[in-house]
Amino acid sequence: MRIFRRRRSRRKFRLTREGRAFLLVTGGVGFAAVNTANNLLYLVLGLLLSLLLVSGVLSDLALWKLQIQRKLPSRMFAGKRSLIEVDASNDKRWLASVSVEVIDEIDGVETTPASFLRVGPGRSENASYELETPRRGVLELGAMRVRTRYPFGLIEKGYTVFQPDEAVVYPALLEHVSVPPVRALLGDAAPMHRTGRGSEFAGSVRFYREGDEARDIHWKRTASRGDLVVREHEQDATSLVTLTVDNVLPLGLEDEASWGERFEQTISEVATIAAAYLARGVSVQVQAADGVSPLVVGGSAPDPIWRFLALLRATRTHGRIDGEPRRRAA
Amino acid sequence: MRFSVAHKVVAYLFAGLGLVALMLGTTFTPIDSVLVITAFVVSWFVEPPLLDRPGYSRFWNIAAVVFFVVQVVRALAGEATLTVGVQYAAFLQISRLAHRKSAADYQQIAILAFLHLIAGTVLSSGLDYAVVFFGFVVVMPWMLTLSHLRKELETQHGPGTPMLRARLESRSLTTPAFFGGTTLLAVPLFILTAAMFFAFPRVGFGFLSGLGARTQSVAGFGDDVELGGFGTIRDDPTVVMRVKMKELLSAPPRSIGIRLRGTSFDRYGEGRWSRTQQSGSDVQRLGDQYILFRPPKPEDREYEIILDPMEESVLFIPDGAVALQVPPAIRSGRNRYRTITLAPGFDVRYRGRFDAALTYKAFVEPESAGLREDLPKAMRKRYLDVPSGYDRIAALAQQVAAGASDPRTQAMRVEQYLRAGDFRYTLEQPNTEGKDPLHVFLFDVRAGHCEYFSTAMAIMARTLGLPARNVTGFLGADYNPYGRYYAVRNGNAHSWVEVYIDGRWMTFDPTPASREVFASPSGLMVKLRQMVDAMRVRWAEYVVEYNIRDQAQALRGMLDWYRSLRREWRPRLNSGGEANIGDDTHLDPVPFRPDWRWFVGVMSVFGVAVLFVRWRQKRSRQNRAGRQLDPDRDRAVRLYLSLESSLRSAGHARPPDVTPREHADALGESGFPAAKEVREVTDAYLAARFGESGLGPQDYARLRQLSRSIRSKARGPTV
Repeated sequence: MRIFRRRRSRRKFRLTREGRAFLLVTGGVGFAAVNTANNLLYLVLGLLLSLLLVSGVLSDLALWKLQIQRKLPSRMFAGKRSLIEVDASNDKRWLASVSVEVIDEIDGVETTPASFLRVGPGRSENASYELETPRRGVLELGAMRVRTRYPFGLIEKGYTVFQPDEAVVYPALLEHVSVPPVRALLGDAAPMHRTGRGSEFAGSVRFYREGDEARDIHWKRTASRGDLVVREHEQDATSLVTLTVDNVLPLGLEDEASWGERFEQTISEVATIAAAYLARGVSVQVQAADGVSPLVVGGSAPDPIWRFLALLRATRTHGRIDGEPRRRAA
Repeated sequence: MRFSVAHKVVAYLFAGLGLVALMLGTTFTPIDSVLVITAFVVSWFVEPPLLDRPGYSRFWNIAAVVFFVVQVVRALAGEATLTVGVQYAAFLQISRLAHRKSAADYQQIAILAFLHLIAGTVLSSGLDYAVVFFGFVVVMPWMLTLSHLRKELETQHGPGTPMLRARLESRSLTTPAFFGGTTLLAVPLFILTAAMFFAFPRVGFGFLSGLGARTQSVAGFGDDVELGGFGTIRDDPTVVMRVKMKELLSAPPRSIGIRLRGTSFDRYGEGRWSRTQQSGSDVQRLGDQYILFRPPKPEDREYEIILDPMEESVLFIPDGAVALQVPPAIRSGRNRYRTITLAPGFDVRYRGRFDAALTYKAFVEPESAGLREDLPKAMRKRYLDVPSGYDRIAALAQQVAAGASDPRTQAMRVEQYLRAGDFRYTLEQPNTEGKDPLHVFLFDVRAGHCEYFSTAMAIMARTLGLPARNVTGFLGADYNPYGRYYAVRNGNAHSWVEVYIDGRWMTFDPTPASREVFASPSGLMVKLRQMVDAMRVRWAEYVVEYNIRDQAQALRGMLDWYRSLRREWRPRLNSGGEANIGDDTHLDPVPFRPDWRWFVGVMSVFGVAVLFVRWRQKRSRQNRAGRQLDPDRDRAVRLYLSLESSLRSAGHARPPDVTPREHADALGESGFPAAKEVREVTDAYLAARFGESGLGPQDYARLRQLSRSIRSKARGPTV
């Protein structure tokens, strides 16, 4: 990705298809005017060129004092469309910014523009575009192209604004996956007195966190405090599942690509199973060859697990030759 | 206005202007025009579901092909290519209008209208084109912007989707502010267009210009004229010529009796004057001056004549003209001098054609005593020819001129007999069926218009042995204060007599109503006509006739102006700014001095505009409030809107989901420097708007001042 020294590039313009046709007609009228000495054709020629000039100035004005801000969603999953929000603030006092498009320039990803039909003077508008990232991992975002064809659609004027940001794209979740039942260990039948996805209300509340379920919102407290508040539950049992992902790339592997595909499939399975366990109130931890995820207590949002899985990479080591990445529940 | 409705109205305006541009020329017959206008109106009412029927599009596509074939066949059959082309262009626009569905259709309508405007440049060059062009400058930004926005909406939401329909039915885009803003675009567009128009170097070859320029048909200047066919157009107010005088009085008379000679006729028979066809010789040219009798002298009067295109290529010459100055046409940057011919009978004509008004100058000697012209015997005989059966008229002439032997006295007696006798001027045509019209005029009805009088005198003079001819031209002109020239109307067409006396053709006018010809019409309509005509002249002068010579002159003028500025400022700067102050003797007179009426007029317009804006603002506030507000609540809303404006400019606009009170609280908590003022204004607003407390004008004024002070307070102290 190109790193810009300037935060905002110089304005660039190009003629649209209509603009090229318009220029062709202008050339024709100019040719006719010169050849015929017909002053009315000169007048029309003047009008055509003035339209191009005015169009250029107005498109500049549409982009002038326009602040663009990108807002990433809290969760993005590989292979699924996510809505990226873009805020446009028009700091002009009198003039509206009309027909503005913002395109995120992301390497290897085709993006659609976020369109703002009109941002009134002194106002902010919000638009969004859908982004589908093909794989999990860190998504780097940098340049955003801001462009407009206002007012006549003859000239497209734009600039690139550099707004570095990154998002962790979680593994793709599977529709159907078998989740083995989990039984509590002997001698640990008593409640753990830890919060979790149990049936009992622990009597305490806390502020809403990203990923909490809406059904847990304590509306009365929310109304009185003015901020979202959720109920905390006591964990029913001491169920804990450790999911193991074998991320070791076997030695002497010939078809690395197909292993990689299977590895990605495994990660998706693990991410889906982890979410299922957590929803049932079972605490989950993921074990990989070169690291372990944070322990997420049952009933909590699976984001730490998903984040760990999103960033998990295959490692090379000696010894294993069976060539099959494994997941293991304990 | 809803977007779809606004776009439709604008598209029809735009297309209508294009069609009018096509109709300006001579290519459209009245029937064509009526058909196009009818189809244009009918297409307005074509709406879905008819538009969406599958066969509907097919019908128009087939019709386009069929009509194209028909037009090609007509062109091959000899119909003018321009006519069939223009008709087809109009048909295409109608088909698009009747078929408007998507942004692409609207774009095609815009393109076609634009091509019509371009076509109009070769069809007409009159003021009507100027009006159409100005309309385009105003409507074009609306049309292009709305078409572009529609395309963006279609791209964004997809064609035919409910979301697109909702946006097209929305009023959020096509607000009065939108139309106001895009209308204002016409101002820079107009200025830039004018600047470019005057700046483009004028180098041309002239292959295509003026294919369909409209010419005026004025009877009386062709090869023959029928008695009664010329003098009856006195009520026609169409201006055919303008005369600008170099030395114009400070208070010019409303009418003058200027006589502009057109042509003359030497043969009369069976109620018809005709001219013996003789080839003329080229008038001697010195530069752009054409010498009729002698080169111009400084003491000669200078008349600039602006002549509208006429069917006959006659140059109208004022009495006593000695030379003409006709500017050359410019082709490929070079002067192409016109050829002016002079035929016997003092018939001055130009060769070639001109598309717009022809401007030329006539140099007139101060004292004129008729036209000097040699009269060979053969020609003299022609000017003495009297048809057979005119003995009674000859006897009358002898009776009128009894006792006079001097030709001038004889001619004057005949003139006096017709003018001061019991003859009456009338525009009513006498019934001359089966009779000689001149006998009917002289012995029966004793009434007629100028042609009867001039014919009677010419024939009576001939019976007395005086060579005489009938002359047609224009008599009299009315002053146009808006253009500072004298306008000659079709109604000024006149006919008089020239009698050859002592080697000169002397002018005699036996028509008793000649004086009435000079009577200047007045009234509102006349004033309007004068304004329009002055605009036409300026349009022709500054736009249609603008050429490289004018460009060079303008450039020289600008350079002179710049030099004069430097000359003026240099001594002023050298002497510390004191020189020349108060010395206005070298200044030009002020071209326009507004008096108190102008002041009252401008202030009234301004006052009405202010009242209108205030009324609109009030209505807008009430619309926002959802109901009619009493004065206290209305003031409260105005106050809070003012506060919001101040907060917005201070960078603390109230988010839409925050109430006024919450916003005031938030500003207080964030340490906003003017939080106290915001709180006070907010409380007053809430109390007046939703509570029982009122908001009097004095409180309103104080709080409004307070809300305005927030801007400066928010900026903090200046260093």
